[in-house]
Amino acid sequence: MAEPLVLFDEVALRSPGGRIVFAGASWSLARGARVRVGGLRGNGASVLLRLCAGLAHPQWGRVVLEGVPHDPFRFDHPFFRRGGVGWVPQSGDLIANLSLLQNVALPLRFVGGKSRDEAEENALAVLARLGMAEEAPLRPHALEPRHCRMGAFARSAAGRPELWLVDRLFDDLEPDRLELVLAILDEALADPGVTLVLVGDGPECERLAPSAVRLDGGLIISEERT
Amino acid sequence: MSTLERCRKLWRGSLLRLGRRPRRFLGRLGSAAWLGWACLRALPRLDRARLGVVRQTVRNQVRFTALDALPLVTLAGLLLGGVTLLQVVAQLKTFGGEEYLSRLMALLVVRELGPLLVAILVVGRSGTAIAAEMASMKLDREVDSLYAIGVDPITYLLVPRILGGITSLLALVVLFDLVALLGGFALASFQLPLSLGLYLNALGAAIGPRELAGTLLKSVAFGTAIPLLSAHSGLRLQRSSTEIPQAVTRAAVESMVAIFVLGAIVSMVCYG
Repeated sequence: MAEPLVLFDEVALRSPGGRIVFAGASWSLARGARVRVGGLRGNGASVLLRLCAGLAHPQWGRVVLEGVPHDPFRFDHPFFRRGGVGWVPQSGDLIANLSLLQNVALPLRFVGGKSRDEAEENALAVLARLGMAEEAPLRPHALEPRHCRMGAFARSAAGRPELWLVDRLFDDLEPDRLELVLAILDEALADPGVTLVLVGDGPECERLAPSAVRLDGGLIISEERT
Repeated sequence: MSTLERCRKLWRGSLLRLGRRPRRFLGRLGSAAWLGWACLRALPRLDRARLGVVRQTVRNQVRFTALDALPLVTLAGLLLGGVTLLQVVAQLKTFGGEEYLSRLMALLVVRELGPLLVAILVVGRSGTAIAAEMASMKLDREVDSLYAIGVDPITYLLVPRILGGITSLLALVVLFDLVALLGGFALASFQLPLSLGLYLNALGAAIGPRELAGTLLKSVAFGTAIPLLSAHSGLRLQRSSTEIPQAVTRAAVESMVAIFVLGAIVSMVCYG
């Protein structure tokens, strides 16, 4: 049996307020899987993504990515080092003192080893495909929150990641831009090796990620295929 | 609960409270040391592409820390040099030792006051700014984002700030010493009959390789400690923006303490 890309091993986690988010949850995600995490906001779906990305660490148990457990004391996971993750958080989390173009170009330079001109050319091409070429010189504070999220999407798309972690990307997106985002995601997911964990609800999410999981009583429960 | 048990509980509680502050201090020292070690380990991993990104940030840091601080450092050097020279001359005159003026100025300004005052100015201007920037980046999850997209936050955020800090400190200390020694002389000469030729000759004789090595060592030590401790304070922020002012204050206090301790160590090694 192939090794899972992401493995939750008896993960237990409480929120800073003491609420139980995960209570000994075990879950595995195969390479190439497309999974949707639905449900209401605040149910822990974003925490699940953060655990996958090694940005949150369980108080008990471990999260393993491509056979290597996340370590809270080392910023040095080989999967991240090669730019394997496409991280699209709800608020975008773009670097405030870089323009949108520089934000998108940063991983291309740092991880992809491209020169500044080459990276910015590629970044601009992705932004243009998303209809954001005019916003390229703007800094994140000058962008609408949904466009910051699209900026984070562009940053990930430019790097061609193996694992997409996408948090409520489609919420309140303009219909024309939604089409452009979906076109790029469809193109990325045409590769059967690309894995997607998508938080959100709606027909777009159901189409992109037919399998669904829900969080119930601190456990990750797989739902029937829709 | 018996009186004995109550006393025992009270005693244990007092002991725990006694140990809390040293434990916290050692914990902070340990995590700052870990961060420093991580920066050192990141240096050999800087390939050509990453070096390009880091160089850009180093340039920004030097512009902010050194170039933008030029007027302040020049003014501080000029006033400090002038006032120190006037005080030194007044004291030397009482026992006719004016010929020691240059030597004393070199000892005071080049060895101790120059690096120390520049470092204090850098803490006030740049250390606090670095702490606030790191804290808000941590709070806005930009640091998380960097890690998730494969950009090592230590290499991208800390290494360039330390390299920029060392470069800036060295440049500012040299400028400060020059302004304090020459500008101070110019200011003091309005009040006292001083000979520039004699002053410069004696100054040249007083400043030797030990002074240069001391200046270099102090610049490297302070230039490393200020950005490292400031960034460390900012990155330790947990979850609320109300912690930002605390992080900034902590960064300033820790950097000052580090400067005094490191300054004393370097002085003892070089001139002791």
